[in-house]
Amino acid sequence: MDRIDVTRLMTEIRRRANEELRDRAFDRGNTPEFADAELFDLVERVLRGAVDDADRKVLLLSEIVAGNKELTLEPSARLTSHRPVVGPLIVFVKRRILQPLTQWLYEYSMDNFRRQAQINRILFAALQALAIESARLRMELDAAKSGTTSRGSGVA
Amino acid sequence: MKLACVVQRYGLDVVGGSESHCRSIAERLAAQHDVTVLTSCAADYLSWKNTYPSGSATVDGVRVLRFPVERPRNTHDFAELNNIIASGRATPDDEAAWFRENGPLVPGLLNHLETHGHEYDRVLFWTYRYFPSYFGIPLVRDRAILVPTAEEDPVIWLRSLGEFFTLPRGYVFLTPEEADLVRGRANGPLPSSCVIGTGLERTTRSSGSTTPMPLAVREPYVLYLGRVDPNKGCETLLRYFQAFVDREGPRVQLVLAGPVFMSVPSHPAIVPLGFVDERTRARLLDSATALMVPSQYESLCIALLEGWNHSLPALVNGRCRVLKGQVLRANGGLFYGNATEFVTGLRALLDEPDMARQIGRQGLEYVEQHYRWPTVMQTLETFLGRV
Repeated sequence: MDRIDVTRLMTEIRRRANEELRDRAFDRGNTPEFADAELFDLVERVLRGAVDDADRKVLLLSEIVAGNKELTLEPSARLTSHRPVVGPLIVFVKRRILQPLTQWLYEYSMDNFRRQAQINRILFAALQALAIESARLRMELDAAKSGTTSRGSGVA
Repeated sequence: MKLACVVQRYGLDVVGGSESHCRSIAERLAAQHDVTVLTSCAADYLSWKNTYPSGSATVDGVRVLRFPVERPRNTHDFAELNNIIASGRATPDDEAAWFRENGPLVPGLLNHLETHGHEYDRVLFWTYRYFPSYFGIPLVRDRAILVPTAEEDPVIWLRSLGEFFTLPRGYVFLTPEEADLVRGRANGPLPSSCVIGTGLERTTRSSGSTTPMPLAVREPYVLYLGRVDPNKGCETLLRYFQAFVDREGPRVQLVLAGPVFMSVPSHPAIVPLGFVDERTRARLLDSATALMVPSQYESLCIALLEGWNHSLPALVNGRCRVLKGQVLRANGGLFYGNATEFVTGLRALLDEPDMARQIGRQGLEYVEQHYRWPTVMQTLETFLGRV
């Protein structure tokens, strides 16, 4: 058999997979927009890009909300006490007695926190991609409008 | 040359990617150079409990200097620090605390580097993430060569690494993707570097043929090699494989060959074997239809190279740049980004056996070209001579 170029082979496998995915997402007509293969490919590319970008890019929305305590997941329990004298004892009890007892619940929650944080990053990345797309379209529209206006005023 | 190899653990019974890599390289370098391995007395990477005696020893012809671990890892504090790191909001103090708690805490090794570091021509450090490398490289930066074994995990995003990655005199990378990752994280240009990967011994298709196949295994099967662990992508692999069985029926088994650290669904098409010895591993590799590599974090996937060494085509997680890069360079496998692509890829490997065999052969050719020890060591020797 001749040498196989995996890049080309993967293009074909992705085409087959996308066809199958589109069929599932079309959902017997519940999302009729996906009857259009070209439209589906565009949508799929944006969403796939968001999944890839989530871990690899600084995301603008994350930066904008950073520092806003109300919008920040606080997964770690930094154990402290405001009491000046018995504070260290309270922290000791919390760390060495209460925390080990609730460890199972803590680990279960942490696992879900991590997953939720990951989902948030993917959503932020998807929003960023859509916002960029929307801004580009806005700029093109503005440019087209101003072109029409100037042509229009020229005629006048 | 007088060389030191710094690594977190070292010993014949120490299992681990970077530790095995260090030992393989140190043993081969020792044939040409005066090599000393500087390491901890620990054998277990979770507790860092002192196991080996401290002081000088010889392991397979290599001089080893072991330093006692000051205290074992506090697992609770470490878990807390991991959560802070994962949240992306670690302060510089949190980061330094993470590197200390990640251990192994070997102040004696740092003292040795401080007082005797200048006596070595080069000091090679394995894995940036452990205490000996993170705190040791600044002490001998003019002669430090880092083998970072960096992966795209949350630790790579620690801010202090931006400066740290500019410190070594040179780098030895395992893949071009790893080099790109570190280059992208460093605060300045990287010094001179080379990409060596690792070496594999030649094998024959019949190397495991006299060993009986484990009873539960039926051909055709696809094979996963290594720790069965969610961190290795096994949760996703099992989900995707079940999606395959749901759509295609149980036309192939998934055989998991490695110690199990998670619950595996009880399913006739999924066969968890637990730890297997070298001969059984070779037997499984000889008769498998394809190798599954679901890991998201890799600096170099040795299991993938092992599969190619047995002419086995691979189906890898395409979201891991290293795996995707390896597969594309070798033309030795397919990759997937979601369940549907996994199902389509696996279906293609099963339905088109000529194509699958050819891809496996191309993987072997790639190993022949790049991953035999003489090639690997020649690249490293040339680099050490010029850096």
